[in-house]
Amino acid sequence: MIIFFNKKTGDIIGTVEGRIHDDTHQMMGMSISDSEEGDAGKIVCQWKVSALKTKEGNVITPEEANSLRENGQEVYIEHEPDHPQKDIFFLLDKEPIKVYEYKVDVATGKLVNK
Amino acid sequence: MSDYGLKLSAPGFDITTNDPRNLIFSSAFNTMAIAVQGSSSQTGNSGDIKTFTIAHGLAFTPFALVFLNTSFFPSYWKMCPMMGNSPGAVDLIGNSDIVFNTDIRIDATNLVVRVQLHNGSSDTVTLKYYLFNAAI
Repeated sequence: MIIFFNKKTGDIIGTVEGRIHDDTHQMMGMSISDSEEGDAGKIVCQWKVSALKTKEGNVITPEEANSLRENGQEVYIEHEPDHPQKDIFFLLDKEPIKVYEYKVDVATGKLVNK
Repeated sequence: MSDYGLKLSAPGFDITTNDPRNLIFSSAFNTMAIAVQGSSSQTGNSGDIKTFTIAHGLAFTPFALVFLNTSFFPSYWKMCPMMGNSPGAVDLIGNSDIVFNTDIRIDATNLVVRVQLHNGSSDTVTLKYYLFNAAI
């Protein structure tokens, strides 16, 4: 998810939803009435691989995963938000519109409850 | 290899059917995939005209869908553009308090949504936008 916020107030003004954001998304901008695009700060949260697992749920190394794949066996890949506040981004992944229950602490750059 | 791709047939139909109406999916047809989606929100008062400008970063003018929601009636989303309950107009869905006129403009740079609020007091307007990998 990409979150756009007002740099002065910390109010969230908009989002781009998703887990992986390519160059096109990174170039996006947003503004609302009484603000300019340059007034908006941006938090970008990409998702990353958090674990590789066997069909039975056992955690394996990348080398073990390659070995299983070469033998035609399935490997399960788990992902998580690559962000210090990943718990919040897990929630927002399920209900993106809840982002407006937060604002950004402009001093720390962290999401905080309104 | 001139004939290859992916097909999914509807339950009860042979995947080799020649009738595309019996397919749930066929890579032979454009499926209007979403290029980018998200939301934007701002608060205003009755009579305010609020502008949402989203620089979408796509290299073309995309097909767009926009829905609008208000804190006054958060339970449903209205499709934009719309001419809402201007004073004296008939509200076909029976919520005369939540009134919006909206306008959508889109080009190869920006999606611009303008919303005129008619609610009697302060209201937060949230929109959800969907931009597709299909040029207008």
